[in-house]
Amino acid sequence: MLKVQGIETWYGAIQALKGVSLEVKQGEIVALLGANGAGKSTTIKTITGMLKPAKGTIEFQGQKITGRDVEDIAEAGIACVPEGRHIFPGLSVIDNLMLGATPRKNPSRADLDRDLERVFHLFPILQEFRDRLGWQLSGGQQQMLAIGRGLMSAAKLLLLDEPSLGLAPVLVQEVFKVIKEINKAGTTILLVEQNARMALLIANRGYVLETGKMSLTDTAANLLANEDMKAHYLGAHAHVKEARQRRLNERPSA
Amino acid sequence: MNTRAAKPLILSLLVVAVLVFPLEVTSNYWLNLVNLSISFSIACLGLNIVLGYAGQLSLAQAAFWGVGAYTSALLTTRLGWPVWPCMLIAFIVAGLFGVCLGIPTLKLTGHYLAMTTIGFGIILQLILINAIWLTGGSDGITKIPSPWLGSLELKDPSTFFYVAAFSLLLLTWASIRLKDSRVGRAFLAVQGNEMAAETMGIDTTLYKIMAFALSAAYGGYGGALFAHSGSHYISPDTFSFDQSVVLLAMAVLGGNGSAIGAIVGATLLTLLPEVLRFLKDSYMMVYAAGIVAVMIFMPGGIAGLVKGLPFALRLRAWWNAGSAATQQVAVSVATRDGVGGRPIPAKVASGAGSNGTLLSVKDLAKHFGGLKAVDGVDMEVRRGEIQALIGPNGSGKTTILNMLSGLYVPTAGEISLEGTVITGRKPHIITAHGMARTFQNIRLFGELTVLNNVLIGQHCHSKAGLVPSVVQPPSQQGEETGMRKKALEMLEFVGLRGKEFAQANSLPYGQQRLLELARALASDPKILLLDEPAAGLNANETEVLIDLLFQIRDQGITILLVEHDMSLVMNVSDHITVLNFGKKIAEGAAEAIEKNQEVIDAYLGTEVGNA
Repeated sequence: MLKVQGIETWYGAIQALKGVSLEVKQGEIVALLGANGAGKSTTIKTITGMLKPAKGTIEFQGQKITGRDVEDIAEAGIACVPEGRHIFPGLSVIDNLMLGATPRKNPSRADLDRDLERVFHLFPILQEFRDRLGWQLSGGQQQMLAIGRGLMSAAKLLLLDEPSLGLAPVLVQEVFKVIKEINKAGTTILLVEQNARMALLIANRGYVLETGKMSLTDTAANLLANEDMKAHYLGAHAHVKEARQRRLNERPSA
Repeated sequence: MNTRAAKPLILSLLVVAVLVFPLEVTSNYWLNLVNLSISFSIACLGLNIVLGYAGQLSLAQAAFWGVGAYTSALLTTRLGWPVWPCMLIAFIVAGLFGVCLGIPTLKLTGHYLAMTTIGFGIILQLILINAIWLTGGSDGITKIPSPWLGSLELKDPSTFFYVAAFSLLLLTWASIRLKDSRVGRAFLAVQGNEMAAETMGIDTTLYKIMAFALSAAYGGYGGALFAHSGSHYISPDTFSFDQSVVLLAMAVLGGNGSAIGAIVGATLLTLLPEVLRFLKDSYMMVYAAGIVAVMIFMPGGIAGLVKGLPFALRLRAWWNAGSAATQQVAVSVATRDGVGGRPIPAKVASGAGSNGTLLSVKDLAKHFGGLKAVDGVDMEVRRGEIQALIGPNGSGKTTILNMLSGLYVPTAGEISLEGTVITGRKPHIITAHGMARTFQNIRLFGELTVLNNVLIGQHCHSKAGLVPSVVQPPSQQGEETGMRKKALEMLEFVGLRGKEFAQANSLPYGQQRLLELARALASDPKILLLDEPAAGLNANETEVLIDLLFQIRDQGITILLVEHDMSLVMNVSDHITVLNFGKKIAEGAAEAIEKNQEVIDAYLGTEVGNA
């Protein structure tokens, strides 16, 4: 469905992507992992057209979309939930959601209502706060609004950049469940996440970026079992627990 | 050649250029034009301070230009005072008018501020026209004298050129020095993010007035130069709103924030119409089309265009390398795994180790209309501990941090820090009391360098006022060197050393969080409030952050953190407070909280820590 081949993207004199290739097939959830500054968000921004690659091609459903305008790409059926939410603070929840439907061509009122209903079903709090303004929502509620807005475009491919950022643990679990549900309902998903373990638990496949290059790709199950992954991205959980115990012991008795 | 040798060399070249100029250009017509463009340039330098540095839009610069011109003209013609002191008085009087405009407009921003400044300019012009007893009304003032140098009257455009050109050199030098000083950085911080600037201890109100005053003073001096040169005649119609717009166009065309750009813009827009005069009737159209084209194709103005050239980038890198070398910061570099974690350089906060209450919150509440974001919370943070504040999204955690740091005024309740009640005080005052914070949605000064961000963090512990910032006497240079040294140590601590000249918003998300941490630590806080410091960090980066937090605590700095990453919270916290719907539902050590059923239901979910 999405085929990215050898893209190179620059920020002025700094090369952020040094030939990134990846593929997302219809119906998949693909996780894009990597450390801060590895180029995950840059990859997303290049796919959505916010950044123009100096080299390489991006194909979506067999059509070349490299270098096309952001709104063109959105109309072609790629929606993006950006890192840091970027909701419209001065608009109500309902207006934010409806703006998400902008790339759709002549949607019927019934279709919109149905999709709105689906968003409200996934995030009941948005229905409760439908008339509240964007800035009045807490950070986590804004994140839900951003995901909901992305869903309203009825895109074929949804790019999610750090959807669990700033969410309470119980909500993180909820959001990943929702992502899985959205996927089951037929939306293909490319997911960028710091929470690598959670991402791989719901993904089919994963890619690992390292300083602008793909360093590893495999099925999610294999990545979860990969020793390198454990050491670098999944957090040696046992080690953390151990360190905590050590610190508790070292701490002057309170 | 090093950068130290470069500065005097550039200065001497400029002086020689000024001395030679009238010998080369002998046409009085052109010299008069150049003198006029210098007068405009100085007004634009002022505009560049208020708009380019402090980010406040002023459409009254021609009015200040007029205040200066009339002040000097009236004092010299009516009272017969000598010209030199009157030009200085024009500088001061215009500055006072700037304060008068600044004070009532403090509360305004954006369009509202711009409209007020327009109104101010129009009122001033009306006064010039109608207060005939003072200003001579529409007839203006004629026969304004020239300055004397000994027995030589500087009436000739070529001799007056020296007065104008050396004034311009001096004022440009001052404005460039200002930009890279404590006061200048405070201006830039106000422009970059007013809320963050307040929490860095910057009295944004004061600095906005200061920027207005300086801008007006520059305008006034430019006006005085205008009055004593050219036709030696001034009248109200010169100081119109239209002229303010032209001055604004000059400053923006040159490039927002660049002193040299402002001068280039002013010179270009003064001389260009003369050059285009051969086009006869259509010259104004070509002139206007040119300006529109520049605005469209060079959004950063001329200065922005030049700065992006490869040559300019290399020059800047060389200059930065030179100034960094003079810092000679001796910090041992022994980076583990290539990321942060050097010994924190901050002094151990007074009273570290004693386990008393540092911050106490009683019955705190914040209501937004009918929404009770925080509803009667009691909380104590003990000195030297790490306390976490957790709870579902929307439970009021960030609202509490905003009240603690003074960004919100509580609806009810009391906050005291070391026994001093700080409820409802302004953020910059609370920062001075020893509270620093980071933000959930990163609020760095994105357009500024990494180094400048950390330097701004030290604002409340440094002193340099306006004059020392420009003159930079040895004592002030010592303070500045100390600040730079400390800033580099802070960057070393969080693992950002080597990035000091990168633009803050060019850093990846996780590093921006670390920079915010360094900036907050730079204010030498007793207590550090962290709003989701681990958001956007992966598991390994979070472990590095955990190390940093322990090191910060071990230096005696108390930490109150809001965070959703349980691998961090459960690991570092001495004490955890749990909120739900604005109320406290649990409190205690990590082990107890983890097992608390109410907390599991409301917040943790079934897979604790879920990692």
